[in-house]
Amino acid sequence: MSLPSDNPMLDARGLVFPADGSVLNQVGLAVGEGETVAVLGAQGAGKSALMSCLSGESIAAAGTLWTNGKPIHLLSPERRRAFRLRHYGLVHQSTVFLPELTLAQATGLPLRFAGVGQRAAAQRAHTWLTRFEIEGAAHLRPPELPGEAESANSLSANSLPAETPPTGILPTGILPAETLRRAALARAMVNEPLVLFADEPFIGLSDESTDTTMRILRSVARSHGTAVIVFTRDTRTATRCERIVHLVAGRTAAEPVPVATATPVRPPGFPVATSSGAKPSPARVAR
Amino acid sequence: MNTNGTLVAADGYFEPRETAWFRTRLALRLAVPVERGARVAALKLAASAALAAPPVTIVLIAPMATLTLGSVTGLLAAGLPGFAATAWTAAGLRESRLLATRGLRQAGAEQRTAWLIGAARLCLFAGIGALAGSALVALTHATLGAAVPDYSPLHRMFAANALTWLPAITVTTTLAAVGALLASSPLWEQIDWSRFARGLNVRALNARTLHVRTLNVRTARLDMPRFKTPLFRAMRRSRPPH
Repeated sequence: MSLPSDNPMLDARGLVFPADGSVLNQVGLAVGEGETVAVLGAQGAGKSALMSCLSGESIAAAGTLWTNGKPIHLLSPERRRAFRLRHYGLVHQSTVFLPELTLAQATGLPLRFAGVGQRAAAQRAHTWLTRFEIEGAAHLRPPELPGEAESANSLSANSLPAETPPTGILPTGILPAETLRRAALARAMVNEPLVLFADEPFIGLSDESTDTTMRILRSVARSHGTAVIVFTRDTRTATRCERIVHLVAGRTAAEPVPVATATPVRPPGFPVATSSGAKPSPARVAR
Repeated sequence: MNTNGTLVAADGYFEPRETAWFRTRLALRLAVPVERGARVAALKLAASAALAAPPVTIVLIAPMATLTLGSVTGLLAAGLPGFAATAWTAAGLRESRLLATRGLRQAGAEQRTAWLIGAARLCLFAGIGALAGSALVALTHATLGAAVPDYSPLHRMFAANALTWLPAITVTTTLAAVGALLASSPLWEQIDWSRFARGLNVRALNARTLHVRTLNVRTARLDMPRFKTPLFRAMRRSRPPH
């Protein structure tokens, strides 16, 4: 058994799911540290299945999956669950926030499940909410967000309006939907994961909100070395990432994509992740 | 990662340890609804369970000799509105239960933990309601037993020892919680109820009835030659030749 040649943060090779390959067939993906990659595909192309296989929720029938040099495909279910809890962050398309908990408590919940004490979890949750610039809503429950019932029903667990909604707490210009999206990202990042999987994380947001949230996400991913994989069918969302991997009928297709908001996001000297083990190339090449 | 939030050896990541009583406290925290709609639904469930509990408790407490078919049928009939109301209100809480489970799963809880915490509200309110209903019967059984006439089955049912009421109350509470869980189970969504709705379609019923009648007539005509009666033979003989 050998490690991937260039040792990316996440390296998947030859994933087949299910056994007949009807959903995913020989899919490969390599993502480097601090890199933001978009998996772009139409509905039914296998994005959800790929996210499920990469995040360890489902077991691929064939193929290998390495994360930070660890063979995830060889771990027992218990160890895989523990690894996911500690090293993976997930943002689901239909994010659910429990209406009984404030955003700070909901953000710190993954830490509590991982065994972190209440005080430490609260501190780190507040830190991450601050990084996503929604610290003003930390003490609010989702139904208490101003205008939440009108604008972000799909995000919260209960869309009933608050009895006495406080106003003037959130920073000006941040809508509740964007607040909940950022809170979902903060909840996924609170463990400081190695890899963040985000399924349509900006759906329902305006272009301006998406730009702002993506800027924050890329910034924190870069500073913490987290590999971010965004699964989307929206081309505009995908072009905000550094690299695009097209997923067509269960197969990945490489296509170099010029990034409109190109900024040097990879730490200097970091090798480009490729599946073939070739020399790192300055051009960002998708597998 | 230890309880102070500091990182420990990498192998420690494979063995996460939750803090003591964290799941229990979280379940209790999520079991108490904070919103008006959820609070009303939970209180309806508790009231329904309280309505359904007394007949069940009486059936459990009654001596075997007093449990005739008529008395059991009567008690179950008395509890029928409560059973229906409990099932109805518990089914209404199915969506919130599933959402709570999904939210906990997204927050990193394992499936079993999320299921248990998500079901806490149902169990809590159904249990509280059943406990209240059973306890009310237990506390007033002496008065009720004296009030009913001697020939009534309830008179002998209420003569049970006070100590035997405790297991009856416990079993009733457990049954209410389990019943609420069953009624709110997502398995019911997999049943095609439209099949039963189609059975109640008046036009379909009419057509089916007509079809049956037609078949019956045809069958009768076809069956006629089987009767080799003298009258039948006489009719055949009298039929004009083709």
